[in-house]
Amino acid sequence: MEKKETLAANVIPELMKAASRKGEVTSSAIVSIATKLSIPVTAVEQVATFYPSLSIPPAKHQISLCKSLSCHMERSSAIYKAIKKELSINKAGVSPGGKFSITLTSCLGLCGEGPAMMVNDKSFTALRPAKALKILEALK
Amino acid sequence: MSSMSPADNLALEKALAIKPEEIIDEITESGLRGLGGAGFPVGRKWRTVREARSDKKFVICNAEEGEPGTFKDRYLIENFPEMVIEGVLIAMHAVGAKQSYIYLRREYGKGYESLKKAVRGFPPGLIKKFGSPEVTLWKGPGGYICGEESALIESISGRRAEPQSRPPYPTEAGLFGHPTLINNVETLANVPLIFNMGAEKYRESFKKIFCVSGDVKKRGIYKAAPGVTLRELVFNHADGMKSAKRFKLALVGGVSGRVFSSDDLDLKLDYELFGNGAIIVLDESRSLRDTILNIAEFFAEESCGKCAPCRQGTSRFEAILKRKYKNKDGSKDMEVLKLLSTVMKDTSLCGLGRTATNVFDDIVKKFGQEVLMTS
Ligand code: SF4
Ligand code: FES
Repeated sequence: MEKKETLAANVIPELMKAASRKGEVTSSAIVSIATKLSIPVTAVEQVATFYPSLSIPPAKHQISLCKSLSCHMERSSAIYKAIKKELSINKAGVSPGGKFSITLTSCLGLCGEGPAMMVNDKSFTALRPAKALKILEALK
Repeated sequence: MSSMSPADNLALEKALAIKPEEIIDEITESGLRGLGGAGFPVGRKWRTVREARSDKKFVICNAEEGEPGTFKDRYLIENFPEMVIEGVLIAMHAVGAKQSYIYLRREYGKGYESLKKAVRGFPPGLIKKFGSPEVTLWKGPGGYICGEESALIESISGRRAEPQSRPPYPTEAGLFGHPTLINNVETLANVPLIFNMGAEKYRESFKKIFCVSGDVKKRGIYKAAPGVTLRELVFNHADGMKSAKRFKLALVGGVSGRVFSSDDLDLKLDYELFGNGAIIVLDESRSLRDTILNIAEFFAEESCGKCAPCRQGTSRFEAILKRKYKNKDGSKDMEVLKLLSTVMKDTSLCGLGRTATNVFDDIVKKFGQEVLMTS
């Protein structure tokens, strides 16, 4: 086994773990991953900043709403507006108290049933603004 | 097919009964080609990895489905995970790999669970006969570029998912420098079928998965033999247009694919034309400028930024389409966009930059640039 290489290859699984705990990868998490895998902190940083899904604003419920073409054609932007307004989402994309965060994402592979969103690991499809708000209301 | 029963492992038993070389012959005989969009003959790719000299080889199943309009890998993984795993196991046996990865995007958590269950469901005795290969389900952070073979390898290696120039090809020096076979989910899911029914029968009955979305009545997954026309897919399978508005165009192969106008409805969709099988249908009420802008935004965001033509090209493209055109009719901006498109096509390092403006080019060619000039 290429011990060193495979050890360094753990950087992404480690970052994903840190992100799923905190929502985004904190700088202290980066340092501890670097120490654990004995690679430079900058190397971990470079990887962490490359993948947008590792810097989703932390919140109890992370909403990812698809904005790619098939969902865009089904007016996903209206859903985005409704959620932002109804949940008083701030500029950083987070609702008061950190209950919800919302990010617009690229295609989620649900284009046949769009507009689509994921809340944490669960997907929701055929959304309309009212339906999306109801789903989120139930999570409050 | 979705539940495990002894009969379901027939393909594995059959593959085990013959030599790896014979497996590859069978695959070649079946005519199977890469179904992720490239259309490369699968048998030939397997043979290259088989013949590569190395004490270690890898198989990677590419499940980083990211092309807008594509949802077949999600469908296959969630509903037929056993077939995907069987395909991986047969591929490993054929090329001589002891380790494999299934590279899944982060959003495919449900698929991850079904694959995990499927892996556990195989009879241990059978797996042992395969030499107890290691199948790692690798949940990646995702991103369109991670679907590019060399970027995907970078990502598993723990680096930024930046495409690498070739040669060497992954089949020669891939993951951790070893020969690596990378096949798409749909490609691998077809492999057990070849052994279940035999190469010849498979060849005759092969069906490609098409993902139809947009302005049709019934969006969804449809299976059809290559050579099917867009008219059949849109008006028969998907039951026609959603409203009284007429068909305007379809993006075949997703947002990096090609534009089919109503003149092209009867073209036979073969490997050269169907791309990955994604079909996004637009009716006559759709603004083409808005469509082009949405696509430009997508590529500006998904460009990995490694090479200048794509990094700057995609972001300038987006910026121009987003603002008001400079002169009243937009003709000056249109010239800049066309130039950018040519430069990106000719000089980008990987497929993302080279295909980002396909839809723009085709719309200009088929509908005239005027359709994009008025906002
Ligand atoms: S073409 Fe675009 S995506 Fe590909 S390497 Fe260059 S910058 Fe990255
Ligand atoms: S375009 Fe929204 S899920 Fe694919």
